[in-house]
Parts: sequence; C-alpha cells; structure tokens
Amino acid sequence: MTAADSPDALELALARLAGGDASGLEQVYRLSAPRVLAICIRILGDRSEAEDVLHDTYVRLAANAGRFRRGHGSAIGWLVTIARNLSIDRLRSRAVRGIQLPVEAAEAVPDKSPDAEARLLGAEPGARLDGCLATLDDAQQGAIRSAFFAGYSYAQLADQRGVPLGTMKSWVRRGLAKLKACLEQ
Amino acid sequence: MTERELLAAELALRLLSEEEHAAAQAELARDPELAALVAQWEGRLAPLADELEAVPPAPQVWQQISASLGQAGADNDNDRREADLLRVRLRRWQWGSAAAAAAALVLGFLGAPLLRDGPPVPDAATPVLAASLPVGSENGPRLALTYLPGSGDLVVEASSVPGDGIHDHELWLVVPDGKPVSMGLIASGTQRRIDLPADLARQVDAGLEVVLTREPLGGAPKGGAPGPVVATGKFWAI
Repeated sequence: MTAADSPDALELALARLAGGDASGLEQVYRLSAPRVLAICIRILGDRSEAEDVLHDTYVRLAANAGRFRRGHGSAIGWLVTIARNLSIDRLRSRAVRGIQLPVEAAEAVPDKSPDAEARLLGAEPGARLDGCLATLDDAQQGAIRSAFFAGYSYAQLADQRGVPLGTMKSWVRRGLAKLKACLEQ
Repeated sequence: MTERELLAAELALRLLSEEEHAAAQAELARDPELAALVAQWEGRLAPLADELEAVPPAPQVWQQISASLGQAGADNDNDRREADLLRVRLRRWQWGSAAAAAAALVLGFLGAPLLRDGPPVPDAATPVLAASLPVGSENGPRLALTYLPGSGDLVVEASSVPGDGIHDHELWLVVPDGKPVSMGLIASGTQRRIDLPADLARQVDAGLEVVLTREPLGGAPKGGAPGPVVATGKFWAI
C-alpha cells in the first residue's frame, strides 16, 4: 500500500461524500476501486462481470454513503463487503440461470494465506486476522477462506471437501468461534 | 459463542443456502442488534481481501459510473416541476390557510411512475423504519407504516382508519431533493404490502417524509390533480 492510498485518505474522501460532497465519490473510487475489483474478480472469475459489479458497488455507494458507520470497520472493509455481497448475489443468480464458467476460471483457494508469515511481520490490518486464522486447524481455515474468496455456501463447501453437510457446518462453526475468541484477546 | 453470533457470522460469510439467507434477511430487518453483529463480522473478515493483488479497473468503468449517476440527476430535473408542486401544496398545508390549500388544488399534477424491477440489497446497518400518520385529529386513528429494509417492503396498515364512504387516501414518499413518489391508493380499513423498487428503497431512511392526500373513492381520475394533503409524518428507526 502506498501513501497515496492510505486508509486515512480513503476515510476522509468517504466522509466528504457522506457529508454531501459529490466530488468525494471520484476520490473514493480512485483510492479503493483496484482493491474492490480484486475481490469481485476473485469471486466471479470473470473480469467483465467483476467490472459490472464494481460499477454497481459505487453507484450504490453514492446513494448510501451517509449510512457508513464505524461499527463496520474500515472504509475499505465496508466497500469490500458491499462488493463481495453483490458478487455473490451475481454468482448465485448465475447458478440459478444454469450458467457455468470454464473450470479454470474458478481458481482454487489455498488453505492458508500465501504470504501469511510476511504479513505477520508487518503492521497491515490483515496481520491480526491472519495470525488468528493460523490458530485454526487446516480444514476450518480452508473452509472459511473458501467461503470468503469463492463465495461458497455450506453445501458447496461440503461437496468440495466430500464431507456431510452437518460435518462441514460444525467445522466452520467451531472455527468461527475460535477465530472470534482469538480476535478478541 | 451464542447462536445469534454464529448466525451473524454465517450471514456475513454468506454460508447459508439462498432460502435460509432470505429468511434470515427478514430477521435482520426486525433485529438491529443482529444487523450490528453481522456488520461486526463483516468488518472482522474484510481484511482477508488485503491479500489479493489490486487490479486497476478499465477507465470506462468510472465513465459508466459517472454516466449512471448523471442520468439519475437528469431524471430528477425532469421531475422537479412535479416535485415543486407537491412541495408548494405541503408548505401551504403546513403553514396555512384553507384559501391557500384551495388555491393549490388547481395546480396540475401527474403522479410519477412507480415500480421498477429488482429487489433492493439491504445495507446491514439499515434499521427497520416506522411512521405513524394521524388521520383526522391528532388523537384519532393513525395510518401506520413499517419499512423492512431486508425485503424492501413497505407495510401499510390502515385497518383502524375508518372510511367515510366517499374517500380513499393516496400515500407519497417525499424523496430528498427529488420527486414525491406515489405509493398508490390506500383504502380505509385495509392492509397493503408494497414492494419498493430498488432505486427508491435506497433512498428510504430515517427522517424521510411521508404525505397522505385525500382522494375520491377509487382514486383521482388519471392525470388529475392530487387531493388535499391530510397528514404528514416522518420515518424513524425502531
């Protein structure tokens, strides 16, 4: 992350937008869109659909900027959340419409953060989360990461791992409880 | 961890089936504490996205966003005349004299087209909203409105509003800096559930003004002026 897209600059731009300054939107977009697009592409596996969702995310933001609350975490976290939800909506409606993308489009999600150790050394916001995820066993960690990055539901996770739905639910639920306990330490 | 917290985490991660998710959305709409727990989980998990490499979008994406928002602005311009008319009427009703209200009656008014497609995707932080409009006297019967952000539904409860046999009411949402949008006719003694179009649902928030006008039974003739304002109210979060 460079100084130009520091979290503070984004928070300030979002605050301007929330305060009714429409020019804040372009700045919010410039500071955040590449990272927001990354999660859309990751979930959808298709750049053009991901850019559609990116468009929808910022149009929606323009209407809802006043609703951003600190309880939601950081500004980038809030934007990622909106985009991730819209991407999953699209993914699931695609499933309903019976559209299948080529298998290679859906990149496998690694069970562990690829550069977890490097990030643990830094002071990035994700470092603490990574540290806590690392305390879960591989199956729990892998399932939570696949849910986040691939938008998989319990049923899809169970299919993917070849375990009964109930087993997958209890893995994930135990993992989430452990994760929360660790994050609150 | 409690069941509610687990549910919040499951909603944040989108682990549930679409049917379960939809049911839980309805619960979210009624339960701001649960919505806050979901927001908290979303905030906890979002940093995972930091590990992805940023991807600069194509330049035309921003142009399309600008165009979409610019188009919305142009729509507002076209509707401004209509908006101004109802505002004038409102102001006169609020401040004023029967003569002014009668004068306002002659102003022409075309109701804005109402429904468009697409369910709203709720913002987890949006609380359930309510409004209560006195019909007749302040202590008389009230028209109760409940807005459920999860489903984008506006529930209109007019069961306790007595009919006089010659009038119905028309309900309007006064969108900030935009047009008043007709929610249609509300017959006395009835309940209605109105599915708000996504672009309208996005603008419903605490403080949004609601107006009730009195219309002939069955509604004003198409293209005719709306009836007099009989009540106003605002949404508040519950």
